Amino acid sequence: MDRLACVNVIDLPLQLLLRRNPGWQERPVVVVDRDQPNGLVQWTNKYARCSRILPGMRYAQALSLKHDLHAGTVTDEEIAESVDEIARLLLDYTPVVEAAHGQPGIFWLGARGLDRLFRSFERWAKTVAEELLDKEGFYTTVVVGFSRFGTWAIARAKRGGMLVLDEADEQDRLVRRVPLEALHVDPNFRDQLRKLGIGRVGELLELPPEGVRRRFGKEALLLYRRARGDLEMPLTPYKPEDDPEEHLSLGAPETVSTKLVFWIKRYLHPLLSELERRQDKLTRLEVVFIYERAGHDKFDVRPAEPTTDEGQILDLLRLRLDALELRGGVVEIDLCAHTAQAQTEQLEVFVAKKKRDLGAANRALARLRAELGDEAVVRARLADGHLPEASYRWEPIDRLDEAQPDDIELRPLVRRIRRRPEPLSHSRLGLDLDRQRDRQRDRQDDSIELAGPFVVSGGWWAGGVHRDYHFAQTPDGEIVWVYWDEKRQRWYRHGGFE
Amino acid sequence: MPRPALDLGKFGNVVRAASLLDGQAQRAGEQVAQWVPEELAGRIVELCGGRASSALTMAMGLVYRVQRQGEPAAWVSAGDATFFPPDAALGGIDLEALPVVRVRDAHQAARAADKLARSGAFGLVVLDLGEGASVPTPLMRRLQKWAEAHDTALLCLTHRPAEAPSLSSLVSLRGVAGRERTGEDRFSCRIEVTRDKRRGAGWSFEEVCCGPPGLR
Repeated sequence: MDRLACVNVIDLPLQLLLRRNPGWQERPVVVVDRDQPNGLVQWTNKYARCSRILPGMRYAQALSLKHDLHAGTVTDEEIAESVDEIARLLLDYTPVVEAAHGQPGIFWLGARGLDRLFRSFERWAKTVAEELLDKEGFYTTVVVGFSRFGTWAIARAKRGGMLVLDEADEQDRLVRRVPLEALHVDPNFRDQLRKLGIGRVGELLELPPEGVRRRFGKEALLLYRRARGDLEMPLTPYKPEDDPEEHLSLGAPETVSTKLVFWIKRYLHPLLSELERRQDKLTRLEVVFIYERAGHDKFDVRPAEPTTDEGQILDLLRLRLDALELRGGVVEIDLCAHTAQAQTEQLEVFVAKKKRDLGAANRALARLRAELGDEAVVRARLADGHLPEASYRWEPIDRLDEAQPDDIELRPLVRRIRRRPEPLSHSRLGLDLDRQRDRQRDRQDDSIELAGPFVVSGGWWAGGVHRDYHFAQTPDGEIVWVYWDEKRQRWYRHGGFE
Repeated sequence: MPRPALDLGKFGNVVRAASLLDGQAQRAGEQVAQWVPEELAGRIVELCGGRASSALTMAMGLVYRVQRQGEPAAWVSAGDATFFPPDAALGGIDLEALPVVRVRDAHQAARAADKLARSGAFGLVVLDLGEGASVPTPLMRRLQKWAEAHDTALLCLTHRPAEAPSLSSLVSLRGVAGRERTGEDRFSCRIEVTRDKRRGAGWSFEEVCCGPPGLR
């Protein structure tokens, strides 16, 4: 069995924040996703954890637990830059480095044969950890073992130092003892399992897989299958090549979009040829228009899936330029091709051809995105907010995957929700509701049936919201979803059943 | 050497041809129209409703059935109001796999649906058109062409009363969705089909749904 190692640069975003603010070293610190009271805590240091501040909490909630808590944000660009620096450094100690997708600070290294070169795995791991500390100032955990999940789970739980596992059984035993809290799992999932008395990986693995999927969803099943070793994949080597760029000087200012497309087309071809030479594919074309007078416009064109198809990219570019209002004559253009390594599709040969082509669906969505903007092509994601409009959010949809609907016995009626609740002050419905509300207090009946109130409050940091929600059924059978706004002393229609 | 007689006993699934034909005839006789993706595939369908409408609930039911069949569905929403995602999730829908295209008006919605239907990658495209919506006939004709070519169901939700004229003469099936409370926490959602170019109007479909917490 091939040996591999997992390097965990412990809480990388937190280390980056502390590097920026050296005075916070001995204080409780958290990284939040946005600098607002309802920002989500993403990373915590040990002083914050002592006050029971955990990832997944709101910043305001964390602040109520520790009033001298320090918080800051770390941008994706900062993290990506550090990941790139670390990966380049690690390449001095192994030919194969893979940076974990979506988990900043986690790297897997191929370790085959390195024990002979460095005399032992212990010496190799120690050298890697020392180098990261001396050259970059990062504290790490290095675990040498036998599988991705195994080394990752132990590296996350260990928090510092190094460990070399000689037997695969030894690794399995240790993994089963890893607390789920130490893993990068969804906080809701973690809390639900805790209520069931499941706190370690071994206890999770005792559950039946179908039960995990039905009760906790797809992501939980994915973690479960990874823990069981069902999804072990070979490492994908990191290739530290800079993204190819082109700079165009147009000579005379250009204001016609179609001509700009032709300018870009001239330089796009060599960019894509360079990607093909590297066996890369384009994931995002970054375009910067520099205007004659002052200022610039920057935008992206993202194909549905990584590609080097010039026609597809030009098509998207044309749609994007049709929607863009030029602020003047363009004199220079910068192009940068962001890449992903070409993925082999060999395994798909064995998959039966599906009736619908998800690739075509993604291409259609990419065209709509280019034409209407990123915010127009979205999907709904449920959130934890108390207010109905905060119980979900719309997020851009980058890629459409196969649907996995849940089994249900009885479907509920579906409400329609308005983006902006409609005030009902002067409407007939508003007056009827006022009358009915008064009569309900006197226990009299009327034509409108009012169910409620269901009190929802929140947003105290921004002045406070207090709403009494009701379902009001009108004599013609319409069920309206309304609320009484205590602060504004007014009825609002938030939606209704259809 | 004489050939041995074929021993039918070895083949458990063998049935006589005559009984097979009988069964087919019987099945064809039993076939009734249903509010299912197979019935609506390749057609433009309009679903409208009055005050006590269940159009949104029935459209979501169709999205659920399409997702259960492993086909992608898409939702195009024009205007200010849209479905409440927590209700859709309670109805079993995988929201992550349901792209929602948010546009200004019905015309832009139809153009977006045109792009989605043309790809041939969707089993169902729902156009939530809102009040007073109209779609130009040439655009409807294009939508019809893509629906037929790719076996896609194009479902248009409109806020028109049953007696109002249909969205377009190209609508192949028009249903009026109503709702009635039938008991504690139970609602009967019913579609009365007022136009069906394939089977003829007059059939209906009924489904029992529950209310959300608070309405029970």
